[in-house]
Amino acid sequence: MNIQDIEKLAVLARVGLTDTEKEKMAQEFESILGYIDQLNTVDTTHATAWNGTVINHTKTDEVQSNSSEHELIMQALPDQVDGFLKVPKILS
Amino acid sequence: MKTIDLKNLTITSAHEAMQRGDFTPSELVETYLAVIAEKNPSLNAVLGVFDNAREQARVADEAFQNGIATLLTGIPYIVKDNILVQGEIASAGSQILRNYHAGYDATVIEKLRHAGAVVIGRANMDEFAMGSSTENSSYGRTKHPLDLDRVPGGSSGGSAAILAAEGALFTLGTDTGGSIRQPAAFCGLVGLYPTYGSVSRYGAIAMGSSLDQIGPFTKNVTDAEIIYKTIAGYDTRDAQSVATIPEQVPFSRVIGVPWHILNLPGIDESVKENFKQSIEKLQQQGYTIRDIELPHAHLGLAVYYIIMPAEVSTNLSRMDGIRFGARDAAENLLDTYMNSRAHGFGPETRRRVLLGTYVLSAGYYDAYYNKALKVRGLIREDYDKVFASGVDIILTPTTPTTAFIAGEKSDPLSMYMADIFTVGANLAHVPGISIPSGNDEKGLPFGIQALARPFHEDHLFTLGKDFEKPLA
Repeated sequence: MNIQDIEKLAVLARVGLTDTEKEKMAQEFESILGYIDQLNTVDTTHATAWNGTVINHTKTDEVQSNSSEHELIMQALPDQVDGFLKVPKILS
Repeated sequence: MKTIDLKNLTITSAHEAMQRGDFTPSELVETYLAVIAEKNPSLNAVLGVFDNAREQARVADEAFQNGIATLLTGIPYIVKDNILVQGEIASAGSQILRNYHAGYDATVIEKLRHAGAVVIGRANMDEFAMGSSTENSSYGRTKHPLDLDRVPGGSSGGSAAILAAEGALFTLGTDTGGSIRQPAAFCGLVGLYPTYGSVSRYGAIAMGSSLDQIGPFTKNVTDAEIIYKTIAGYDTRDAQSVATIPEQVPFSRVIGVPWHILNLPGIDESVKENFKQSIEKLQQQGYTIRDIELPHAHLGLAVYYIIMPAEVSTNLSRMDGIRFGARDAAENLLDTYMNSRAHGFGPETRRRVLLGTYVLSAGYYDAYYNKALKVRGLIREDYDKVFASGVDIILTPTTPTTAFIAGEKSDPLSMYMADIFTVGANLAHVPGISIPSGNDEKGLPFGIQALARPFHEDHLFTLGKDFEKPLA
């Protein structure tokens, strides 16, 4: 892992890092990836991927009116104008 | 103010005392609040005490006066900072949520409210539950009550420390790779990781969605059983909540010990010695001990440190400074994200988000994430085979060492090793309990960990209650 790899990841993950942090991260990655690479020693040709007995639930989209929840959501907004969430421009 | 003997209090004895009128819930809450006021400045275990604690206690007083009190009425508890209590801050130990007020109660809080318990505050934790020492909290580390230079464990370090310091009668934590069991062991408490799917995750700030469970810290096994039975149950709001509990296998008091794992590097001799003494005690209590093998157990940490960061990177993408949480204003959207997360997330959080992004990225997904899922399947099969062979309980030490000195594990990888015995349960979806098993020569607690078949927490409670009894 070099600094450029870390930079690409940082942008993908939307996480800002200083140059010092990028260097430190690159070194830490080396060490962590070195450890998790031991999985390559395992023969998994006949193994099935398992992430729990996952059950997919679907719910019907029902419109519900809940003003108290609306209040709490509005209170949490970092920046708002006239009851609308205010965000920086997306297209420059 | 009435003097209450907190040290020897259990949920049952507290209830009986309040029934008799020895003290009221308000007096009990007041006593705990005084302990927190006295000890928290040096421990930094509690991030906030709830304003309505006394009001909740008054409601409990009335329940006793009206003869409608039940076992948990008026019992004071503290929750980990990542469990939502409506109207209270839930910051997950992070700056990015420093002013985030929960819009609703977690299911476990609803259930405990309904049972009459009184939630008095929120406890410190490693940021977003990432850590094994609570040193990654953005609100300062929590100190071990027996030695302020040491860590209480993590990530639920605050929940463990404040209970060990007698600041509540039970606490709640979350466990994704050992974050209840390990601090329980370090602090001499009982800590339960319930079977994945048995306790609703609704209202717990998500870390690893295929690994997380909320669970209790208590001072004895019976209390853990009481809390577990109160908070467990099917909930449609947790998509992985299990509705049908499998049929129970009778308990035959057969313990399997994977001795081969105890020979892995980094395990203290004193831990091994204490573990052997614990085995001998159980043998004298009538348990059969068998050698077992968990052939892929040594790979558990590597599997965990791929799957967990992958899930973390997804779960934490909602912390973007846009709809809630701290926003670092910038000229454009991308910089808003980059800056909010750069300043709102601490180093370990950023490390794991990036690691997760990496193992899920194009070109690496198969080599890392898919590979890890396959090995996870093999780990799960190891446990299935052992339980199918007639073993009821798998026993190991909970942790490779007793509570370590703060700052000692500065390299991330050395910190990750603390979870070597605990991650298996999260990966295989089996329940696990840590039970105190003595103290080392410095007075620091040891813990042993029992694992059981999925949804067989009763086997853990039976073993735990037996182990708690002194030898005849």
